Amino acid sequence: MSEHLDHEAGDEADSVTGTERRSFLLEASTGLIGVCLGVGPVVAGLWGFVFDPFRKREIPTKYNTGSGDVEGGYYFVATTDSLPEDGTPQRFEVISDKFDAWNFIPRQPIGSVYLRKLPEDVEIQLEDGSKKVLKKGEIDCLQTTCPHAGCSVSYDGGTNALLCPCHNSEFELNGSKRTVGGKDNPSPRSLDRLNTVLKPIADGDNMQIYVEFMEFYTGIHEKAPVS
Amino acid sequence: MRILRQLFEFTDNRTGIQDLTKEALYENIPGGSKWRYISGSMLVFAFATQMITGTFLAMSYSPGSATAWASVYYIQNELSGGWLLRGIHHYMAQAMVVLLPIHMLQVVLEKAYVKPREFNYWLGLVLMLITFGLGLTGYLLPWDQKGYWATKVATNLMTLPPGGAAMQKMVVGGTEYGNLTLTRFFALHVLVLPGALIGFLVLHLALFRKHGITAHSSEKHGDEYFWPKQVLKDAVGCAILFALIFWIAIAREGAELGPPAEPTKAFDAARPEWYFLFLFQLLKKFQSEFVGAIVVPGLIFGFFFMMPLIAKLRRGHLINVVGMGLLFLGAGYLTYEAMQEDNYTLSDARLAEVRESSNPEDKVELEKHDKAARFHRDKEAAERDYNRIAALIDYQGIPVTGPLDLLRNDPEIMGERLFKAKCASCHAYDDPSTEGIELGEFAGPEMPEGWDAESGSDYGAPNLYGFGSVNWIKNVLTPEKIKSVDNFGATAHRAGSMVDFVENGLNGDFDDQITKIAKALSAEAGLVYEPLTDETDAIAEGNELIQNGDWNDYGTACTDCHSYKENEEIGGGPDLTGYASAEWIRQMISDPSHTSMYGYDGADNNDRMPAFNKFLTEKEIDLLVQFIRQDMKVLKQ
Repeated sequence: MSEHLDHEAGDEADSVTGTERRSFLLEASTGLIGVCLGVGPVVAGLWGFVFDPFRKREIPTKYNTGSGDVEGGYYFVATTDSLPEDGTPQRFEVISDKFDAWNFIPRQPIGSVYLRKLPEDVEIQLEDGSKKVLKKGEIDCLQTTCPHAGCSVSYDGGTNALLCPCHNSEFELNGSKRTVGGKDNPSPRSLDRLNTVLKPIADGDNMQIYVEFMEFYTGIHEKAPVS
Repeated sequence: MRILRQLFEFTDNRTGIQDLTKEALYENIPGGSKWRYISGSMLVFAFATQMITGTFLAMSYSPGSATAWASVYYIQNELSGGWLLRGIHHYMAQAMVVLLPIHMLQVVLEKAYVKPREFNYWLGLVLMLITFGLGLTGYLLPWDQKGYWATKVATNLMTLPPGGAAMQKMVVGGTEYGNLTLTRFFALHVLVLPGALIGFLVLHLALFRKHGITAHSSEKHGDEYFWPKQVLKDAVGCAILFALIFWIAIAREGAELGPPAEPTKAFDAARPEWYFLFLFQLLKKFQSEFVGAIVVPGLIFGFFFMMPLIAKLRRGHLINVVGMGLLFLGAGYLTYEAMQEDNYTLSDARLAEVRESSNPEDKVELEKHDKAARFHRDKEAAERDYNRIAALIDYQGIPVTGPLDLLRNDPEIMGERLFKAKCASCHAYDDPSTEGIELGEFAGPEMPEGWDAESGSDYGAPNLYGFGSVNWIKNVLTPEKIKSVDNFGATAHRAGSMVDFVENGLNGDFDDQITKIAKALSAEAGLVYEPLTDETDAIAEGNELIQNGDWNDYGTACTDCHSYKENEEIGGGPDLTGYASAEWIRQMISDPSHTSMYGYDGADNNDRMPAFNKFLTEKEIDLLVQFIRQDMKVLKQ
């Protein structure tokens, strides 16, 4: 078989230079067409694979009332009445409509937060390092997702801290990291604080608490919203 | 560049890739490269395209009875480029089926199926069967009406040969079509069949290289290598194929998706994909399904398998070529015949003729026409249902329970079906402003032969289209119209007091007053499509007129016989408070014997309206009410 080939190859090589040049053009164009043919279907497929997860979904008309619970990313969570005066953090679910690819599921929990009515003035540290004072009576809201690897923290009355069960991160009630018995806290930053807006209800002092709920990337020093 | 050459030599010394490539590419083709040799490569290319597009489709498809259709709808309408992906996949599948007989013809004509190449030919036949299997399993996956019913037929036919019932259970995943059918078909379509195809293809190509090409050297054309000239011809063929499929996919905006599968609603327009139509048509020719679906196709495929052996006989090759040609032509003809049957339409004149005639041949023609008409009607209805569901999805998204839930809770779709089943035997639902009966309208019962208004039987009930609208109410108050069959004409009430009042008491020019009365009553209905927000004055005046009788020839006020608002005393006629509102219609459908419906004589005054709370659930009555009132006809944008 190889003898046969060598003989043939020899023939080709013996021919005039003109044939060789033609052959190159032929081979190049063949290769090009072949590559394009392979690329076509792959690009069609990759288009959806790569770009679809970045698409913004529109809320179906029936639920898109433009008013009510969700206003510009703020979700109604609780009323100020439901928070104890002594500043014990209370955990609340955040309810919203959810898209799961082809399913639209209204009124689903999308996350949870700790709300606290501050019993006294509290100093907190912002992301840029500056300090700020939250006044007594103000509402403080912390995301329950631990910034380390994403587990949920919970309030421990005994140690008056927010504890993460996965890798032992501990946080003060104002969200800052706590070092316990010399052991370093694996969380890269303090608990993520969320903005709140209060809306008065018709009678009395009771107010509705709206939380600007969002998720943040875990495992990094910066507090960067997931987008 | 030196480094590249060094890298290449490093790899080649250890893998021998250069020799491998040479052996693959520098295959000798006696007689030179030819255009007619490209069909095999085109099939391989088509399959590769299917694998690539199929892989990306599988990244978004979910096999399950509540999610399959929804995920395909997502791919078609939301996934970036999804419609194109689906389109290429759908039409390339059909291209493979078209290329198969072409390749087979070329192979047989070239005599590449006889000794020593019989096994390779048989492998080719197996590949063809696997390709058909891929088409069959793929067609079910969207779980739409056409895919569901087409495949149901195929799996029912599967029970015919011995051991068939057990085979059917394995394929379907039980006795009923459901989640397990989809998961099994998905596994077959994505893992088992492509795997088998690749396996057999490798054998097919290996055997092909072992035996070499059948072609002969000739003086006219020198021998050539596979690379580059044959590869170029193959590539051009594939490029044209891809361009064609791409163009078709774009022109038709992707593949079709019908309304979601409904296991309890038979689909008259169920047809297998066009390349199976010849089998579908063949089945009709035989009394016995076993003969038509198993024996005859079995014999045909048996002939294909025997062809290399038949070739050994004298003139065997000729028999094979002629036989194969006839079979392909026959299949082509049957396909054409199937399509013609579905489009069998008689002209209006001829249709009238056959309807009158008692000639049995004419009856056969009429049956053919009716069958084709049903096919088209169902197709139209399916498209309309699909569009309605798409509108519902825009409006409220697909619930977790699946798209069927949307459908079964939609007053337009379900209300119409209920109306057809429970109401249309007496009531028409026909827009008088449009000619003929559109999809979604009902003609009501036919007038008995020789019927006349004086002595004829009570055979029908009012046309409920636009019930409670200003026009509808005005028609009741119009002397020329109250006795039409759209109102009381086909009922016992044509001899009643209301007809008497309208015909004798409203004979003058009372258009202004009856318009105001109609507006006032229509406001009670609160119809979505006729809000009457600018008519507060007319409504107030109408309410006045209802309660006093100075304006008409009889001097009778409506409230002399009807209770209305503050005039609470039940009279001889229906309570007009909340007339044609959802509650009012619900009462009428549930239990018309209530005095608010037919006045103080209650059931005695009722003509033939049954009490449907015995036959329908509350939910069903609700759907009917919303359908009649067209409450959900237009979904808020």
